[in-house]
Amino acid sequence: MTAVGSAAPVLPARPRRRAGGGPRVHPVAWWVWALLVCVTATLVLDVTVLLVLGAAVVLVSVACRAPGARTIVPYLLLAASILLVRTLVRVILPSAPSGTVLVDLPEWTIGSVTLFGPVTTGALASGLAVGIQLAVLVVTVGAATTLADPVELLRYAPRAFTGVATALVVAVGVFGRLAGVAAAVRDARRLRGGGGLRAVVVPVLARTLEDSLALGDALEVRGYGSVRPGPTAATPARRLAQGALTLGAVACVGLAAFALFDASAPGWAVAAFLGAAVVSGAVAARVLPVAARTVHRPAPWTLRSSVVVGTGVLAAGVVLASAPVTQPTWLALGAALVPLGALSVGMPPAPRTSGTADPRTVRARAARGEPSARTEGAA
Amino acid sequence: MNGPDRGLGAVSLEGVSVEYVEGVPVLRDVDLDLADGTFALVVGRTGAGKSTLLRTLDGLVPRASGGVLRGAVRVGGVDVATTPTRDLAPVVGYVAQNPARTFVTRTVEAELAFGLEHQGMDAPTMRRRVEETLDLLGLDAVRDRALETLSSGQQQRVAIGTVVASGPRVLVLDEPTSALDPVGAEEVLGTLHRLVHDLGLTVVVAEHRVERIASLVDVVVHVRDDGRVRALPPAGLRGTPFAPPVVRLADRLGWDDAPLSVRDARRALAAAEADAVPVPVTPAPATPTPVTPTPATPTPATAGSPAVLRARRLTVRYGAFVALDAVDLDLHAGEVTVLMGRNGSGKSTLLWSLQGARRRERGTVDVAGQDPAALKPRAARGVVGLVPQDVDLLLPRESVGAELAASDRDVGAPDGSAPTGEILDRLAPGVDRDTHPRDLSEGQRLALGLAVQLAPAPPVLLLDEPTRGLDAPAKAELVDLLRDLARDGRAVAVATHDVELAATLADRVVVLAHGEVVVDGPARDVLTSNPAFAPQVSRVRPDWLRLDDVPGAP
Repeated sequence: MTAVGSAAPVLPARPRRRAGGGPRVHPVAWWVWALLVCVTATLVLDVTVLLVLGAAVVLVSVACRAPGARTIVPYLLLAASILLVRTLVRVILPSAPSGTVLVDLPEWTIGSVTLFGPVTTGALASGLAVGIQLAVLVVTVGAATTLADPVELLRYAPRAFTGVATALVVAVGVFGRLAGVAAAVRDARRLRGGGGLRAVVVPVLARTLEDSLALGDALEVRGYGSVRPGPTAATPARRLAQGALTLGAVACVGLAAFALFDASAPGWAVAAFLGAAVVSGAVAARVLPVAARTVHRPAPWTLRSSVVVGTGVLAAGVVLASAPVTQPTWLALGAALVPLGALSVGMPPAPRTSGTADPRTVRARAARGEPSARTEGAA
Repeated sequence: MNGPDRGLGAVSLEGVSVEYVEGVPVLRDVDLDLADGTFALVVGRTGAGKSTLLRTLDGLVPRASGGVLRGAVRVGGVDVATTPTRDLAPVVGYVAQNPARTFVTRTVEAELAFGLEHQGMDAPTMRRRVEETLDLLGLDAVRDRALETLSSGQQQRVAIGTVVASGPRVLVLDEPTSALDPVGAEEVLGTLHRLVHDLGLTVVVAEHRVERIASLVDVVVHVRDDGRVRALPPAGLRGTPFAPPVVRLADRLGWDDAPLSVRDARRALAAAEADAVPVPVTPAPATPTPVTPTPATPTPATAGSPAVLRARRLTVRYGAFVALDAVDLDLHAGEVTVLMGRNGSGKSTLLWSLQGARRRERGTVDVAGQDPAALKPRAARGVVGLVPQDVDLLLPRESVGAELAASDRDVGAPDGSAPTGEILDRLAPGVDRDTHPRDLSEGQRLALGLAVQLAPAPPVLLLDEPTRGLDAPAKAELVDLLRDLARDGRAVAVATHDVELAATLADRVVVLAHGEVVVDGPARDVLTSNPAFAPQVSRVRPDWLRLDDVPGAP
């Protein structure tokens, strides 16, 4: 963050506020909060506590969502389908029966595998418990995307990761458009009376390639990657070193994530990989400081942001201290409710009533206007 | 990097030649000088090298395109050959044809800031630049909107803003209005006019619809088919194939000075009428009201001939967005119907759902007792043929010959006959069968798409925005072609933004707005009564629609 404070003499600090009054909580804070809630959920095996935690997350998402942002509904549907699939799997592939038998389905044996058979409460409950944990994780990530746009988040990526972050931003955009291209191609295929796989694959690939070239040109034209006079000359060796170090850092983050979910990995592996990622990221930033970018109107880190992160830390801390949580103790239930604390600071200010700024009006206008690609056929 | 030298002209090309293939120059010995603050229009036939000329100004030719460039290109005093394109952002900005392809972020403001962030501009300057750009392009009211929710005109202005934000001296645009409705196009051209006048920017624009822009520009750069380039004053358009209708009007009436704007033409006409004996005018000039139904070219018996296609209460939704709302439409044999309306008014959706390729929510479509949507795709195209805006999507194979063969197979042509090829030869003679469809000119590619869709001999032919990228001569050929197809007894419907095309092509015009039919009537009545869709000749004098209506030297 360079010289943000010196903006004051040029312009009044905020001549016009963003719709909804600007983010009161830093986007990074919401994602840290969501990450900590995820950590909490992975340490809990009790259905009641998980349900309380999930409900708290949904409540925060609904209440603190900026007007016009994405909704959590698709994530709730995904979570529900996860539960459904988990339960079905337990019915089709029964494990050790326990509890009362609800339905006794006829068994069907294929080789050494037995399908169906008696459906017991115990089997369903254990299936649901694991399913709910996954569902809570999905809902929490969904909540984070409703509270802070992940693309927006990438603007705050550390300097050394600028290249990677930009690649992600571009990939998200292109991927979204790819769906539009595929739909247009599918429609056009019907116009020629069907046709094989080639009638889909070739146009999609050709169009994607053309789009990528156009995008590359546009990035170049807008000065992406331009060489600015900086304290260090951008020699090819330095560029190469920076690229290698950045890739190394990304690889270390990936390995850390892998170690986190691999039971056989030693406990120190996660910390070691994360440490390596931080170090190589920091070195990458030092090797070629000219590659730094600046941020337009960065959101300030407010006290509210700290409070949001604090609720996540508290919840995760309590559960970590008493892990693994297998019973709905008062302490665990309390910890599951702590993320609700974000409600106290995270709610967006009431929308202003003036016609132009009311986001509902804006959205209604957008809907009446032109969602271009979809409505204009093959465009 | 050498700093911009304010002493030199904004754009200077000296002896520039470009070859993509050894020995086949696309541009040949181009010398061009544009002073600071010039508004220049680049015209030429498709494939003549307009885009190549524009892209040399930003170094994208030859760096991004390959090929060899000889000669010197200096823009804003900077040598383009030795400066990477990315470092040229503060000197020259290039806006490509399709803005939606080039967006990287979600909202307008973030998109404008993106380039500046990556140039490492300090925060206060960047903030100021973004605010200035928002004001300059009139985008402040939509600064927080998601880019995909903007109208096409707004998207094009954002695309212009993304390069203007870097503060270039020269702005280069490749067909910025080709996808826009008349109102959106006015918006964008007005913006360019303001950039030239208020900021003193040099703006270089390639544009096929010359009539929109001829009165605004200072100089016309003509790229000839042999790759040579000459700069003309706008009046020099007279006698070229690119002359806008008002200039042709001057030819027809035998005026010495060609007007470039409708306003000049009106004045010239008033002066001429005051001078001379009453001008012999087409019948019924008595009432000055624009809505006089003058049967100069009698519309073919629309009422008499039965409808080939009948659509009733057609409704299409995309989620909560109602794209078509209970639309009734009849298409008659032997008649060309033109669909007009703003971007997003439902023209394309209507065509696609008439063909059955877009699911409708309610309503019926009836073509000789059959519903195309209920038929298998192969049978449906024998009933209704649709040529989409993106003809490329119809042509996935590697060569023209392969496409033709596949089409013959699809229609079950007997061995030894080549019906599709015969149609193509009639539409566009002499297309090489070994060429890749993407290497054809826009006009030839459209002809190939048309031939493929005409092969099963559908009684109804629909075309979605067929003139995008077509130059004036190719457009005139298309008009003749579609009129011939209608004369053969087909029902033809064309969705277009091009009012001049509509004026020369349509028997009947249907105007859509927000998914509803607003007007449906004879072309003459509809086009002369709606100010947004009136062609130039009709604006000069409301009882004229096409140049044929204008009396004078043939």
